[in-house]
Amino acid sequence: MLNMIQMDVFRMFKTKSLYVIYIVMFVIIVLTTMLMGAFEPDYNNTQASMTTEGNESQSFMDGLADGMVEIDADVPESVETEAEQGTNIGISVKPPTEEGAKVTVYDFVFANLQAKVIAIFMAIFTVLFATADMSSGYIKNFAGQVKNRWKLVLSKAIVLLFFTVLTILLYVLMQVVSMPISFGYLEIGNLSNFLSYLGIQTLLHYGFVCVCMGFAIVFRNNLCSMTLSICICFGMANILYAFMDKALAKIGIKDFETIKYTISGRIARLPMNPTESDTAKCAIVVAMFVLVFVGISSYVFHKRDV
Amino acid sequence: MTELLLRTKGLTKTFKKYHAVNHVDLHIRKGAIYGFIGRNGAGKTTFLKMIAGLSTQTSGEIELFGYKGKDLSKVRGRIGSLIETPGLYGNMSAYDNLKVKCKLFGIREERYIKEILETVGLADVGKKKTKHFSLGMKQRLGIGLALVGDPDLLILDEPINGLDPQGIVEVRETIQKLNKEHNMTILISSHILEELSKIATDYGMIHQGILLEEVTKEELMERCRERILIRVDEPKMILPVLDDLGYKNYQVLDDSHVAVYERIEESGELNGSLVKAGILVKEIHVASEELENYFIHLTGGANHA
Repeated sequence: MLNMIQMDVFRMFKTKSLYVIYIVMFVIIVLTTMLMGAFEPDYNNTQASMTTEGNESQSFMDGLADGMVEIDADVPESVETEAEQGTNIGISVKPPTEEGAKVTVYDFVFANLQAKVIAIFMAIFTVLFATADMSSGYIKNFAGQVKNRWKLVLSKAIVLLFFTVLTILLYVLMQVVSMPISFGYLEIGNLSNFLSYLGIQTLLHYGFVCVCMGFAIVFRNNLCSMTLSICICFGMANILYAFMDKALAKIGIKDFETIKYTISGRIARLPMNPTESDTAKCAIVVAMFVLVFVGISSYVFHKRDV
Repeated sequence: MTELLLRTKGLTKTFKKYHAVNHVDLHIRKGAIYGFIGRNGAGKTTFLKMIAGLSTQTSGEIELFGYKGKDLSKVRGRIGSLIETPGLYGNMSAYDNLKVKCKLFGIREERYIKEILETVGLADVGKKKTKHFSLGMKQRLGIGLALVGDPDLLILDEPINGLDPQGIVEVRETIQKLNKEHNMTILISSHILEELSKIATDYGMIHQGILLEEVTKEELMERCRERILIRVDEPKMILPVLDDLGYKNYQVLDDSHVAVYERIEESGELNGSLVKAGILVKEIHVASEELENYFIHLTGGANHA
């Protein structure tokens, strides 16, 4: 098993897409942070007038990202999660900086993680990584020689945990680097809350990565798996959850919110100051999804002909 | 009795209603180079995939190194395989491609990888990415990958496909070297029979998923060699005449043909003697058969080949 993990780690660092994804992620993080920094003098003024008028939030990024990624300059009076905003389709990056307060690293990290911006990059790499040995045919060189083929999936899942932690850490580092460049100061925010939030989000993102790996292995189709994974990031699954809730309501199970029991729902709804209860619920959801998706993909991979 | 390294019993692989491999009983001796002959689509690759552990059989049994059933997983690591086209990471060098598999096998020595590269003639490719390799180089690296872990049984599926004459010679020499120097048993499939005949010591001929025949090289050469073919009404009648003439190496092929394998140049005299003995010779001629023709006849004629 250790040999399999070593093989996958070696393979991961030899994969060009890993570096491409990190470079693109870095550019996007720096650019969006710089854009926010450039608008900072008007930031609070705009917020004040917007709040007074009670208008909807104003997007800085409208037109810059074809409406797909929306970085909103609106600074809410209190921290809002998706639960309070209602269900989103698409990506909305909204730093929760309070009126008159300095923008912190935590604000950006919160905004980007809950909006699943980092999850998109993770999904792309995960699909490419999980299917690389199958799409290249390299799997034929060793699949017959390992005693338990399902362990190859387990090895990938373990290496992807390492990838998730690495990506989150790199992302935070990118954010820390881009803040002084863009704003001229570096404010971390509430460190204790920040660390616990980051820890839980890392766990949730790992759960999401395992879901993407499951898609990739079961479907054996990069395009299909990547589209599905990105659709989840864009909140497309919310439509399905809404239908499920409605169907459950019809059979008498009212006030049930499927989204609460999903990885994407948990990522979007995790508050900035997570409680122990939030942590426990997230851990249960992650454990459930990891078990199901790693289990199914291991079984399929073990049984299927190469 | 020669030790069998691989034995299959009624091995079958079915895709829906199509029998890709149909009750194959195959036997490979330890140390043999087994030529697995069959047309495209005959079931060679499907069979080899089952042996290599890449695919599971619908029914039947595989016995490898004396292990079968669930115990097969104990000896799977002793098989190296190159099935269909070589599976390589195009963005990696030959060295790194080998290193990936070496990591899986827990092999740490750099020297080991270099030795494999030398064995397959890729020691000088440096850091060139394999996506820029020629087909021949890719095939050789595929063989190199199959060698990682020092397998006792090497399975090569059409390893000379698409190679130029020089590449074919190199691959052939590599296979012979592995067989002789490392005492490696090799199962090699091909539809280029003449090429296979230069290295194989045993043959299995498969057609439409059915193993038609298993022969040793000597048996095959015997069947393909030059002979006087005599067609008569009753073959038994000419046997005393052949004995009187001193012929010892002859064979009754069927109820109308007798093959004589010696004194080929005396076919005219033999015909005269048979006529003198009152035997009505319907046809007599010197025949020989190429391996390809032999296979074509075996599989039901040229219209199927």
